[in-house]
Amino acid sequence: MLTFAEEILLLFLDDDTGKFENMYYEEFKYALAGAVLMDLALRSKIDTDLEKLTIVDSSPTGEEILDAFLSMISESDEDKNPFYWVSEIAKSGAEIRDKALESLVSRGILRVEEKKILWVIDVRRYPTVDDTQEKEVRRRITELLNSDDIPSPHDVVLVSLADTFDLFPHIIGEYETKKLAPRIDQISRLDLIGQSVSHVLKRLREIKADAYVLHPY
Amino acid sequence: MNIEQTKIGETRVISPQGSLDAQTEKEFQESVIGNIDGGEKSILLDFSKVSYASSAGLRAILIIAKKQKESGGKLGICGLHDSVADIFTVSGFDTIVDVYSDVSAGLQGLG
Repeated sequence: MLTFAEEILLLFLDDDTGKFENMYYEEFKYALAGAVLMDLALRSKIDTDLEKLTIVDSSPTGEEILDAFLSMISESDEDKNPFYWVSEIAKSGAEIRDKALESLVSRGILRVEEKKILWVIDVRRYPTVDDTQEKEVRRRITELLNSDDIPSPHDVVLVSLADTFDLFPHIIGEYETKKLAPRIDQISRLDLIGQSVSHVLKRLREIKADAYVLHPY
Repeated sequence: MNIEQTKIGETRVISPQGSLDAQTEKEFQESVIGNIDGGEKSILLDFSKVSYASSAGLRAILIIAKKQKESGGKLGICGLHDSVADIFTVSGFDTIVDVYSDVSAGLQGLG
């Protein structure tokens, strides 16, 4: 079973070029942080409400990347809110991304392609080898959005992450994204951690907008 | 978690007590799913004695709501305390489960 970080990476990745779609790392790292927390929540390791995130079970999950952050949260002296942990874990966004890519390569879903641009700059891309999992995720999400079915907790997380990071135009197209906006919003809101990720990102975008107003050039 | 159950007319009324969180959600979920598997087509969750619900508790309600809808049955929830009602509203759970003020209103709504 893929982790949410792995699933969201597959959705961000352009299958043909092996490059990430619209990827702006400053924001993308929050998607990965949210994915880690959502994985821990669905594995009954942490619990959250509107104000705090608590440890339920600190025993390892067996997934290296999840266990590193589970330990970090367990070792905290006091309960912090989900916003704090999204921001804190996002500092390790590059590490989460690299571990998730490594795992997808070792599972035979992606392959690594090293290239040089202008004969000097090393560029690493990840073309898709086996797109079964990604197609299945896209099919499931498209079906869910076009129905009034009640989503599974797993699909709530994926829709929430995809919505927060504006991935739906890439998954279902611009027209469908606009048409299905109310349904996307309904499902996204069902996850409290997803809401925290969305709040952190909104704040980040506000700070950037303020900075631009003060220093436009 | 103490969970009381009673049948009023065609509706199974399930009344959990205490906090619905990661410690108690499994027991609650299993209890309600057991009723769905047993063929109960109308279920009312009486939350008048539930003082707290976390995201794990909400996930249990989501799984129950999904299961009951797939089985062709009806599900309602009633008696939400303010703190639980807040989390329900913020997360939009009131758009997937019918919310009633009390058991009497719930029975009428589901009936």
